[in-house]
Amino acid sequence: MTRLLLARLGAMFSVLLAVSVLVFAMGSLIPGDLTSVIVGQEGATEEQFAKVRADLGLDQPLPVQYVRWLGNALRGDFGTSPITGRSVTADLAQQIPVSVELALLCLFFSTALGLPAGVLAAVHANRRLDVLIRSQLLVAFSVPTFVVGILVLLVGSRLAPDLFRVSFTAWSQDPGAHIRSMVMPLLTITLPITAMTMQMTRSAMLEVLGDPFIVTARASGVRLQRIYYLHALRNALPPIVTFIGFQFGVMLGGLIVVEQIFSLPGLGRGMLEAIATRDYPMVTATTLVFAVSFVFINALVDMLYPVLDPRQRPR
Amino acid sequence: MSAVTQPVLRVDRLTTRFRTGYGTVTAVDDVSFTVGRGETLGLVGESGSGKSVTAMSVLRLVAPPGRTESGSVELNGVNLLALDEEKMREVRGTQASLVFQNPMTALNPVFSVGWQMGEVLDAHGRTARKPAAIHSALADVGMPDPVRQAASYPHQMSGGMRQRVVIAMGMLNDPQLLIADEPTTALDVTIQAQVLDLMKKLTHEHGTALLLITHNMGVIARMCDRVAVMYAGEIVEQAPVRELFADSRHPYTRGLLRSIPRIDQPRGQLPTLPGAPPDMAALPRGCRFRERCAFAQVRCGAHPELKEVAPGHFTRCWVAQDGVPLGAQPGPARETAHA
Amino acid sequence: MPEVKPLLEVRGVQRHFRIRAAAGHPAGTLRAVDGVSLTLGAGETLGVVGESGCGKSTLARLIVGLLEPTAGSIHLDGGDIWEAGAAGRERRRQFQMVFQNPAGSMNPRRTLGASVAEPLQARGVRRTDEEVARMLALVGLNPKMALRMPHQMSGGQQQRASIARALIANPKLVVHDEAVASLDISLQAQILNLLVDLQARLGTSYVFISHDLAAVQAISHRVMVMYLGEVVETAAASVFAAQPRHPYSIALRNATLLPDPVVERGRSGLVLRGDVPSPMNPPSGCRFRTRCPLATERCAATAPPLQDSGGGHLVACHVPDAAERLARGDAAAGGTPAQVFA
Repeated sequence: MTRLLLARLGAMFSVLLAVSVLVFAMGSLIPGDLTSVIVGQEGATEEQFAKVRADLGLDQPLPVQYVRWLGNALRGDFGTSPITGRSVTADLAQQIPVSVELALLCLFFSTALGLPAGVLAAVHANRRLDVLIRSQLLVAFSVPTFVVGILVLLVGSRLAPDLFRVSFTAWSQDPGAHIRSMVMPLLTITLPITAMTMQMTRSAMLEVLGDPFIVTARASGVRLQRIYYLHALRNALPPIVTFIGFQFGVMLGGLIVVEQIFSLPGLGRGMLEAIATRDYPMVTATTLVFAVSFVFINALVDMLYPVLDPRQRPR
Repeated sequence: MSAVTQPVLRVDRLTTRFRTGYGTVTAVDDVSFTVGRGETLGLVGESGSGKSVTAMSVLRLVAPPGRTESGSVELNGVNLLALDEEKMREVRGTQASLVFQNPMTALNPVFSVGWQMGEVLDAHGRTARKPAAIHSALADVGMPDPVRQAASYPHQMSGGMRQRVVIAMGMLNDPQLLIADEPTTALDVTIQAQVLDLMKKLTHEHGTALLLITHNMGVIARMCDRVAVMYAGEIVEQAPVRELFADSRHPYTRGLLRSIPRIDQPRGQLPTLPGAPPDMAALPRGCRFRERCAFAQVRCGAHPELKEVAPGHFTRCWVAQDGVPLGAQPGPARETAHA
Repeated sequence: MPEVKPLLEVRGVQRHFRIRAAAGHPAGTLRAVDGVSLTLGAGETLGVVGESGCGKSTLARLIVGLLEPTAGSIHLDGGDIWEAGAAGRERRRQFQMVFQNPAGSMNPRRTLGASVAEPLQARGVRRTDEEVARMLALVGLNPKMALRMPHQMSGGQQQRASIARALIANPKLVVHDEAVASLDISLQAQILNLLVDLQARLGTSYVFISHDLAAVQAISHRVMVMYLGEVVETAAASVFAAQPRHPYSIALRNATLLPDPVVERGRSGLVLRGDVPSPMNPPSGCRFRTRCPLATERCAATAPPLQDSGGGHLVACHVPDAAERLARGDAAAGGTPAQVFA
């Protein structure tokens, strides 16, 4: 079984490599040149252009540039931002924890709420409880994140301005304020993800509940709750887990919107700013971070299958 | 079986209906039978006969929109239909067990066989008996390496082995009643023989009453003491096994027996029952077998009741109840070209 | 008397599948069909019987031309069905197949008539309505059913339609792969009778594949028993019914229960132990030896050839008097004893 896991890990690295090539290629395709950003628009001479270009290594052929870029990236060096003048890596190091915290909390709460809700909906399929759960969450899912975010912001800051601080405070500074500043963004981003998790759980459970071994368990006298949450849910997990992996990508997109609306200094907002200011090193670095985390999460999900389903294990 | 001993299972006028938006189907219609200690009763029928729903009704496992609407199911003298759900749960797996058809899907694929058997013990507070009882049950059903097999998963086993596991699960708490629904249909013929012999041996040793549900008359011939034939939701004939085969008193049973190909008969045209089982959502008035019956008469437009025509031999047929022998057909066998 | 060339000749046909390693099993070769030979005349029925893993479904597809053999050849009317070009294609068109699952083998989105007409349309025939009506009537269906959709019909009706479709283009040979297995017993006899009747009228040859020996005997002129990709016995149906010779055939026969309690319980018989070995890893020598009560060392060392034991009755077994010994309840020293349970 370790062989199987190592093989999947190896596959993940190949994907990561391909992703890095893609990100770099996209970065170099952006119209306009880093050089012109640095040098400025007015009155630059050809020699100045050429010098800056050589400094940045942009006169080298693309594959060479890529290798240099990748080599630096692996050492954690993404260069300096021409816009802010700061080390890109330092900025990333500040932004990543914020986004990671939001992402992990979102994942946790959406699963912790969505899974049981989905099981309940499946057990009471087409009866009142199911309809209730589904309709509520359908609404939550249908409204776009940015609308929800702005609504939450407006309502929250009007109703309880002291209770819900709008501006971000780090945990190290003031834990209480930190929590209060994260509640609303978390709510905004978790709602649609919870809805989808619930929906996926419900349909996966419904399929499993139709299987004959459920009847065997009932005929043996096993308690219903145990049948639902253990016998059945275990079987329903693989598709649900896959789905959560995909949802991660959706959530990353949501992060960008939420961080912007609630002014959280995370990766998402950082990326938007970098795009707006044409901060190319920052843009490529942030894209890479997003892509890598998505691949990583899905590789983890992939490695979970043999754990969840004995049929996937080597004999 | 002495008349004084109470039967293990007494089903009396059991009726289970499925009410849907498309109509009402009475899958089990006023069905009554008993099974005694150590006895094997066969419930035989084709699709739509209601035999599987009957089995599920006994253990109250019929899923909505099906509902058992009337009648009684007495297990060791206690009416199961009157119990609350928790008490019923206690009965399942202890006093009465179900061995399901299709061993391929009857077991949970993500848990080991031993764990699943352990669930049957845990559910009834008999955890202390693990793992000894599990290993011993697996050995009883002829598994060559019980300890190793208890740790295995269902997909690592063949169909025959899985069926043995299911039987072991059923026998784990030494039930008084074992219900087997098509236990060998999905198995190879040579494996089927093994499994049937195993069931015969176990029920014999433990004195378990066996309710055996099947469409295979050969299985009935080999395994059963008494037989009830079901058609369109009703029992149309009930008799001791030898009598049923030698001197059946219902045109359906007769026609069925004559139409089954046998390995000791030469190649040739088989006498057949014309037509097909009726649509359960649109049953005819009167005798439900009338449309396919070579003996049908005007009075078959009235629905016949089940009556005893010989000791222990019941039939639901006006003609048979009159004592008319069903041996000779009144005309050439109707092999109507219609479906 | 001049030798009549058989309609179908299968010579040493093999079909192996390379299986890649996956979660669950290592790589290997699945020897689904491993050297099968048979002949079949016009208007004859060959019954092929065996259990899971014996290769009968693969053999069905080989005969019909859905699969190409990895070795050996298949001849129709003396010509190789895999001959390159139009000649081979035309020969393969002479085969048709009826499948087990009547609902699954009809396109659910086309009317019955359209499905039944397909073989004719594949040959470029345009006006098919009359033929379709004729065939439907021939199989016992109301010709008006041509306008119905499959889900509106019962299993028995669907299977009759499958048969109509198989016969409409007048094939020389039809392969029935478990054609009656999923039907109610009262319908099985109807369909079996229909098949025999149609054969008498149209002269079509059949290969009737089934796990049910009783159904096979009801309809076949000759019977062939397969085990793990090989033929273990072939004989005329009446001879096979009276005197099977191979231990596996005998076990199969014993396991096929008779609807007759007196006879059935009076039989004591060989009940095989254990399960069928994996077709990916068949036993050495005689493949049946792991379950055979008469197995000897010779059986492990060499595979028994299929030999004529008299009058065209072919058996692949080292033990010449196996049938008699089993009837007496013998067991070879060191072999698995027969388990007799009456």
